[in-house]
This record gives sequence, structure tokens and C-alpha cells, in this order.
Amino acid sequence: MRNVTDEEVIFIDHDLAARGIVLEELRDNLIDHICCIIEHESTMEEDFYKCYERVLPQFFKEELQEIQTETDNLLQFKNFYTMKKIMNISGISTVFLILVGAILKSLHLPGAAVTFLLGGFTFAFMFLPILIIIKLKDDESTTDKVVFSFGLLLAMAIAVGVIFKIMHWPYANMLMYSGTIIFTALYVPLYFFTRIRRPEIKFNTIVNSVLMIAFGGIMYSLFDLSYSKKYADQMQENHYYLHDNAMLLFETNQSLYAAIPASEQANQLKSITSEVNTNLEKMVGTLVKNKSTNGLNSSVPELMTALNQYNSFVGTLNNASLKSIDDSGLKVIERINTELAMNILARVQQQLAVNESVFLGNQVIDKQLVAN
Amino acid sequence: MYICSMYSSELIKGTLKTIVLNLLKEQGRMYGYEITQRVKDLTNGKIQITEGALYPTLHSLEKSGELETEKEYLGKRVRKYYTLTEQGQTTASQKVNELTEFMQTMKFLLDLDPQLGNA
Repeated sequence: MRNVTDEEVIFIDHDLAARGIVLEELRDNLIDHICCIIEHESTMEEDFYKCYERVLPQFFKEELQEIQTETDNLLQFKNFYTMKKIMNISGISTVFLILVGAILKSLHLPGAAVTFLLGGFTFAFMFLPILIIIKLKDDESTTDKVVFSFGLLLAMAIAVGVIFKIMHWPYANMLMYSGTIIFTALYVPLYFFTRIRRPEIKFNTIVNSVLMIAFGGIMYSLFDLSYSKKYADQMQENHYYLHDNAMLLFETNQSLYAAIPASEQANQLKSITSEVNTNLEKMVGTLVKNKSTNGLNSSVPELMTALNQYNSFVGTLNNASLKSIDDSGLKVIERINTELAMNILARVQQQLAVNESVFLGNQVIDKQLVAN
Repeated sequence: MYICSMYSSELIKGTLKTIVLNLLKEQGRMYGYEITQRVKDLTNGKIQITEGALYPTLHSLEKSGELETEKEYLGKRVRKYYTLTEQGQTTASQKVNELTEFMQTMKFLLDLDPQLGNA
């Protein structure tokens, strides 16, 4: 029996690599197999290279790379099943988590946000990406692959937008709006026109397109839901009413300052009230100008500081009729709508004017009592 | 590409994994060339596994955890011996049972068994 030498093994190794066997483990298998055949099934007299050329064709039909391709396919096929399994599990988890999240949210029970968030992320970052990969492998037509993957990417954007919206995170509206608009205006027509000419899927294409347009439209109108015009007008009217009354009180208070004896307390109250009111007016101005609470970032801390000083000062006056101003509404002012924000500011302004008025009224009464 | 034999490749296309797993269950440790020769001997040459079918299947079974390998160096050559893992033992039994049941059903379906059918 002949023995294949190390030089001959190296030759086979290089030749197999040149013929497209890139997986080293597979190449080792083939080298050993070829060597075994040469050693067992050839004579000592036969030239090694001729023998190699004779043996090699039994490994393939057209070219040796077929073995590499077949191995790759089988290995990927295995992953394919694992991916399908993961996709199924993530799909079931998504449904379960979102349902539980919805129940917890509607019953105002703790854990709703976390459950929702987990469900949304499982859907957007596990289920949908795996579905894209599977579709890319599954569908035979390249157009279908591209169109379907595009649709799933948009679905991911919308899903992430919804999660962001629920969590009050930034860019939620941008994600939801752009996702929905592109989905309805671009994806659905693309889906429709790439499929409608195929008789076997014509009916499904029409039904799916109608459903998707309906979904897009409903989503868009839901995103755009805000308070009705009538409600907004009423809120604005309310604000102006409160604001005008406060202004009237401030004017009257100015006359009262002249009617009472000059005192350190009165001067301090006048100054601090004016400071808080200036901050308030500045914020109202920003709200009216921007028609949004977004530009209030810089003004809120200034107002809060002035209010804290005001409340401390009011505390030192030992007058039960003077009320500290509640600043809880101001803490969330950037997250609410413009009309509500203006009402909160008007309420603060009114309390400011009332406190000043009460203090000055008391002083006037004291002065009259002393005079009598 | 799959199995070269006197039978049509379509007929026995799905049995390669079962053949390899069962052979390893009986023989313990085998390398590629040995597997092809053993199948050829056992079937008197009626079934000859081609290399193009054997190695992709062995790699796939190894990746899925049915087989484990042991390398032996013969100079510059590397010989990979395949053995069944615990999972592979179970799969081998399952595959053989499945194939046996399938053959029984086929016998019945095609009326080949006098005890089961009308022939």
C-alpha cells in the first residue's frame, strides 16, 4: 500500500483551497478522504498527480465548490430553524407582555410601563428583525424581499415611536409621524403595484392594501388627537379672565401702597411680588410667541427660585390669610399643553395678587384702627 | 450529489442522517472514509454515500450537537473521528424508529405486506 507524503498533502490542501473549499475543517476532511482513496485504491506505480486527477471528480458533479455550498446551506438551514423558534417565542412574549401591560395600565397598577416597554422592545428589536432575516431567505423574488423588509423597518420605527410616546421620551412624534406617513404614502403603493399583476396573489394584495391604508389612516388620526378647538378656546378665555383680574388687583394694590405707612415688610413684599410677576409675564410671553411649552426650559428654574424666596418671605409675615404658592404645576409645565400651562401661570399670578391685596388690606385696617 | 446507489437518489435522500447516526451508534468512533466504506460493504455496494453528501451532513450534525469530533494527526494530515454525543444517541434512536414506522406505513400503503394488506 502506498503512502501519501506530506508534500502531497500540502499540494492537495492548496488545490482544494484554490477550488473554493474555504472551511478549514471541511478541507481537512476531504484531504484525509482523498489520501485514503489514493492509498487504498491505487497502485504503487500510478503517478500521484494522475491518480489525484482521477479521484477528485467523484467528489462533485460540476465543481468541487458544491461541497462547500452544500455544507454552508446545511449549516444555515440549522440556524434558520433556531431563528424561527426564537421568532415564535419572541412573538408570543410580545403578545403576552403587551396584553399584561395594557391590563396593568388600565387598572393603574404598578409595573405597567416596564411590561409595556419590554413587550415593545421584544417586538421591535427581536421579532421584527428576525422576521426580516427569515423573509430575506424565504422569498424567492428580490423585489418581494426588498419591499417586505422596507415595510418591516417602517413597522419597527412606528413601534419604537409608540414606546417612546408611552414613556414620554423625546423624538416619539417624529418617529411615529414619519413612520406612518412613509408607510401609508410610500410602502402601501409599492406593495400594491409590485403584486397586483400576479393573478395568484391579486385578491390578497387588494385586501392587504386596504387594511394597511386603513391602519395608517387610523394611526395618523390617533397621533394627531389633541384637545378640541372649543376646549382650547375655553381654556384661553379662562386664562385671560384670571389674568385680567390679577392685573386689576395689582393696579389697586399700587394705590394701597400709598395709603399705608411705609414699612420694610411692605417694601419687601412689593419688590418680591414684582420679581415673581415679571418672571410669570416673561413665561406667558414665551408661551404666546411659541404656541408651545418647549421654549420654557430656561425660564422655569428662575421662576422657581423667585417663588421659593416669595414663599419663605410670606412665611415670615405670620399672616394666616396669606397662602404659600403651590409650585407643583410648574414642575411639569414643559410636559403639558400650552393652554393648560397658561392657566397654571394665571393661577399663580392671581394668588400673588390676592396675597398682596390681603396684606395691604390688613395694613389699611390696622392704620384706621390706630387712627380711631 | 446525495447518495450514489442502485436506488434512486430521491428515494433515499432523507435517510442519510439516519444511516450515519445509526452506524456511529453501532461502531462508536469512525472517520469519513471509513463511514463510506462501511456502508458500501454492509449493503454490498447497493448504497454508496458520496463525499459531496457525507461531509456537509457530518458538519451539520456536529454543529447541531449530535456529533463530537476527535482529531488525530498523521503527519500533515488531520483525521477527524466522529462519535455520537448523548443528544446524538437519542436522535439516532428517534430517527431509526421514525424510519421503521415510515417503512411499515409504506408497506401498508402500497399493499406490500400480506399480513397487513390484501396481497
